[in-house]
Amino acid sequence: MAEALRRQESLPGFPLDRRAFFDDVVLDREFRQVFKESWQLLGFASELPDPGDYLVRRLGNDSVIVARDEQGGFSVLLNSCSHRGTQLCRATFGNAAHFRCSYHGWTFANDGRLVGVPSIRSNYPKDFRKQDHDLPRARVTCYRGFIFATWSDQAPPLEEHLGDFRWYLDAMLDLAGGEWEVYGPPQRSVMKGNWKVVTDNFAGDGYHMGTTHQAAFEQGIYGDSLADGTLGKGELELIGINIGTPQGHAVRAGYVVQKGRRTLPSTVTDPAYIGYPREVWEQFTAAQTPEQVRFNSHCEVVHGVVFPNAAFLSVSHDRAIGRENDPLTKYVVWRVHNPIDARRTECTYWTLVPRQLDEDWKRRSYAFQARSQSAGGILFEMDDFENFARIDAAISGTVADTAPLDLSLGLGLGTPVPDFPGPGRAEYLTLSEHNQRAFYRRWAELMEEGTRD
Amino acid sequence: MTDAAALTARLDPTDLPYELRPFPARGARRTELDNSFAAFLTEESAALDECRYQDWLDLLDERFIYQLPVPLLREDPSLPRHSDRALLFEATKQVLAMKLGRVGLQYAWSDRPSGVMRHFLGAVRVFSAAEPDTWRVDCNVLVTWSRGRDEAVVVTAGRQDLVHCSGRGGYRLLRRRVLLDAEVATHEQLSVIF
Ligand code: FES
Ligand SMILES: [Fe+2]
Repeated sequence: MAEALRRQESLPGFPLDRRAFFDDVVLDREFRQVFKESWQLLGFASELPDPGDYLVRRLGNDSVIVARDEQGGFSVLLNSCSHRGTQLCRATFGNAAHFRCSYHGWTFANDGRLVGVPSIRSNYPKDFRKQDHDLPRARVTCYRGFIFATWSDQAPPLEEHLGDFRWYLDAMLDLAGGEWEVYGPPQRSVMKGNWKVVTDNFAGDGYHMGTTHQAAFEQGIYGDSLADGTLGKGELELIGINIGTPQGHAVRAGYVVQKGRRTLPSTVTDPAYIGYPREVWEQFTAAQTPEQVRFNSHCEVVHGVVFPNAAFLSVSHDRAIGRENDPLTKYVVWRVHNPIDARRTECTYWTLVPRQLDEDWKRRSYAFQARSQSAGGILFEMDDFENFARIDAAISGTVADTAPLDLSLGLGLGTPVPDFPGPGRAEYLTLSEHNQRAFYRRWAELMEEGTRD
Repeated sequence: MTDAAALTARLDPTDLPYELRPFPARGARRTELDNSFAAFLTEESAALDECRYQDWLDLLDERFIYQLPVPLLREDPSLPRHSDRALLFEATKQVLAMKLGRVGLQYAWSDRPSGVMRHFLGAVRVFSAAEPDTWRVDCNVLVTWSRGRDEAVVVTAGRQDLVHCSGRGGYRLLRRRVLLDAEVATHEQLSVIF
């Protein structure tokens, strides 16, 4: 079917085979060829402040233990005993120097070494060597507090996997002095629908805003802020820029400009960081390169995907969902979309806050995320979930299965952004599936591997 | 004011909106009040179940805050089972009014068609609370929601309310905290108002 997708890619309209969104056979191939061969975001260093801290997360369809060892490094270990495969950690997080299996008591150090085997001397053969039974360890790289891991020996180093996206990640982190922390343990929920549906939405779907979220806009949940999909308020409007990379990553940034402008100004004289306190703007500017300032200034909304299944969103809210005097406040949320099966996805949400801002600001930023776009965000997120469930409800019939999906929005219509500060092909087009095409192109590439000879 | 005094003044919990204050601890058990508070909560849930949303909103104090802390699955049973910081959802009265106002909007997709919600309350217990004229009321809730054929939700939780009652028969909800039993809920379970 991946071949089918490749063939279709050359057809007008870039159609996409529906089977990719409900078939567990496809998912099985995705686990082996997409997930196992890619770096995936597992969590954040600030979730594991002390030696011995551990979290249980998923890497593809395997349960893994993410542990901080005594030296401060991270290990990502298969959460399955080397003896009979019993799950070692049943809890989701905790602190432990050792993991003792609940079945026969094999004990593993938090770096994965098998250190204890009951009755080893009396009842195991003489040539039984503990070191042959350590827990499988994934490759781990912690990049600026983001913990990524992969099971692949072949995957290039993380920096290479991030490719052009790395510049954008750096720019988003350097905006607020570079130091961020996760606000509390992450939110999690299970949604109906294939993992790619929600991920492609984050890659670049500005198109759904006016319809899916029509009720939210009618109710004014964004108050006086400008994140109004395509149309701004008053004298201002939003220009969208799409950046899709060959690695399948995507960034879609929306900038506030004077009404009628079609392009971004090429120099920024008065940097503005929408949703952050004015008192820190100057300091924010000083901490960034001039190119980063051009990327971050006047940016009202930015969202995107780190291939395969991490997504991020940064947007602001104000008193419309807060208290009377609440100023416009930004939140930054990072998410991971893990397939449970082809038709159900577990979403994990981390809200990141700049370390240097005060507790009031952090709490407000978190509250705005929790009220609008958290797992229980009844004003916004629910209409996305509703649509993902509606896709799942209708996509898999005999006839439905034969009708391709369409990915041609904006195809050939975007215009390159001259001297855009970041790398990659950045193009102007507020409504476009440019980024989703980059995502599915990379996906198809990995799915096809081994099918050609 | 000295720095220390400024700090103490700032930290006075009664200056803070409810979402920033710790949830009130249980005071003395007040069994004699159980029936009257249970009757109030039964009417309150019925207003939600019967879609009498304005009636329901009228039972909320202007300062009302509604919170669903993130459930935590930990090894040690003596540690709290819910985060005191992270939330799956938080709402003010205004946010809830927006949510309930969605039924009147043609394009509020997740509310149209609407589902049927039912609250089942049990073990309503009243405790004294530190603030004057307020009571902490804990209960068990089972909520069902159904809509269409494949959309049936059952969700169980512990519920903790802070209720204002002046003694002249008027009850107002000041806070509600919902402690979900499951560690990871579905989006449908999370769209319920407990
Ligand atoms: S399965 Fe773990 S010790 Fe036997
Ligand atoms: Fe959306």
